[in-house]
Amino acid sequence: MMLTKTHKTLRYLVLVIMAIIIIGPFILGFWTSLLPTADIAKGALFSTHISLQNYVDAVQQTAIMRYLLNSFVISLLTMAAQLLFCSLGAYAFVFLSFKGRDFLFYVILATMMLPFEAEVIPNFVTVRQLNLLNHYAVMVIPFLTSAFGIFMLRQSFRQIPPELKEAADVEGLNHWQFYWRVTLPYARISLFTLAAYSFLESWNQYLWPMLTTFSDKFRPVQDGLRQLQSQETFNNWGMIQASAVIVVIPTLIVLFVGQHYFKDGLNEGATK
Amino acid sequence: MSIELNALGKAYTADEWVLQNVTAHIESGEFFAIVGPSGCGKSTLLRMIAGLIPISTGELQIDGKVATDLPPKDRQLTMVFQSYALFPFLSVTDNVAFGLKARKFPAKEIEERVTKAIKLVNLEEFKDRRPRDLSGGQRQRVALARAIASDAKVCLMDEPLSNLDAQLRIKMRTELRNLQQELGLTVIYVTHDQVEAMTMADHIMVLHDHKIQQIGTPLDIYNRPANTFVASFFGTPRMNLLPARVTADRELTLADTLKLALPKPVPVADYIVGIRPTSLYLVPQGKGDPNAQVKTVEYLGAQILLEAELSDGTPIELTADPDDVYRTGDWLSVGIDGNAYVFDHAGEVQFMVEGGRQHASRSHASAQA
Repeated sequence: MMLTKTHKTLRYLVLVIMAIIIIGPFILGFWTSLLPTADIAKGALFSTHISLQNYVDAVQQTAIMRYLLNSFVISLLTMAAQLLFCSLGAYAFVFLSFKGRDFLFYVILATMMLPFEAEVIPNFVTVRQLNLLNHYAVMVIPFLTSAFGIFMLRQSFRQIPPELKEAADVEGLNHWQFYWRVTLPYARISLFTLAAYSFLESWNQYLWPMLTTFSDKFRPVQDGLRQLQSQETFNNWGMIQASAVIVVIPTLIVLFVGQHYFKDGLNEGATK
Repeated sequence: MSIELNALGKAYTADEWVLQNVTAHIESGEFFAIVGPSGCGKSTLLRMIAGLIPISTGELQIDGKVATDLPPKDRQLTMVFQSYALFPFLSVTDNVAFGLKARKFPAKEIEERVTKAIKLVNLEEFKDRRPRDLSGGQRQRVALARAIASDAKVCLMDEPLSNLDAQLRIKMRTELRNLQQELGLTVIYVTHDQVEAMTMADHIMVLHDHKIQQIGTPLDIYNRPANTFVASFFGTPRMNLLPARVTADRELTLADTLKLALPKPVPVADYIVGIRPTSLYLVPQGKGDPNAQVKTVEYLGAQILLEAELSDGTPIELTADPDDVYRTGDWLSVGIDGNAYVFDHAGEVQFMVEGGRQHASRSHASAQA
């Protein structure tokens, strides 16, 4: 369909307005992170005193680097564990046949209906019993697998043509070999998606670490930021903004890198 | 490696037999085709031989050894699938090498075999491409190369050509047959296309209704069909099957119109007589004694295909000389001058009446018989 010029202009106008609404706060946040706190307090947003001093201060005076390290450790561990366990779980639901397979799958699906907040108290009691409080483990172990991940990978594994499994059977591949050499490469797009999703999910955790960590040694970034804000002596807004920007950077990297992989048609040509 | 099927059967539930009593012997180096309409169980049979589907009853022997319960990989065979089943994330070379790597062949041997197989199917210039960058015919060749590269001497093929366009299919038929002869492969080839089976196979097994209908060479199957199913399944245009009854000591009357003299007397009963269109002659309108009316006329180039109705309303297919002119509604005189097959009412063949004409002069239609 050919668009008339007015139509096109209108369309872009709407898109630009939406973009401004969404990106606006980010730009504002980034801009203020470059300004001295004195200017921010005065509301002098168009100040020319631009510097990276806030970033230097944030790195030197706060535990932000420690928070980042903590979050990286937690997020990478969670991501790796979810990729491994979700793919194994999904594999079983697609390529193994056993009694009660579908029932078990529905039970796992059902847990997706339960909001995380509802699980917080029993989970807390459990990890306290296990003596895991205030440690990396407490932020990784409850998230080793995810119902959503199993569900997503199962759908993706089901797209694998049955002939590929038969061809592999004829060649004598066992389940582990088929899982590693065919299933994972075939479903790599879904795996990348799940990796990005679980990394970000873990990175953005707030409630659970707030309840289970008490020291900077293990505190992840989101709770770290909150910590900076609530310190009495701390009202250096420029520095808080700088820290927030630092915290957002990994998210952006994950999304940009991830985008590269979300291409269509990678699996064309397997059949027909 | 020869293969022996001994009363194989498959049932998914207690009384529902998908296949029953399948017995056959497949010689080493033979091209053996399994033919039948969709849903006759031919793919199931192939997968039972491959070990992908467990065998319910009977015994399978490969190379003289019982293989009924062996896992697929120990049966020493390869398989080519209708949908090619290529690994989309691997290059042509890696696809061909896949099975050899899985079986842990030495790297040097893998390379030799793969290079040779790719050369045999003429894909050398495409060896680094992914399947998605290949055409359907090329993908089919990759699947073939994968089977060739393996050291297995038995290759199972599940309708490997049915996704190709008509011209390519005819070309691949010849290539496949040549390759099989060259390499001395034992091929079990499943197809629903009777022409494919006729042109490629040494022996054909006709499956229908969960049972073997007939096993034989293509000539056997065509010239001596065991029953009405086989008779009508092989040959284009299809064989006419006409109801017949005994009207004299050594005579059958077909569809109340055509007389067929018999070499011997038969018990009085209902019969079905099969006559290929090429075994019928016809005399155009205005000459002879009209007994059939033309319903449709199809020009096929080398011949004309006529669909007609005998005077009692039984439909019949005829072939005619393209130089003659036929129009819908024409009345023709049809007679028998080729072989006729007499089946009993259940469709089992009783005997064949060698082509002899009963009346009128020899005409053009019988030339191709």
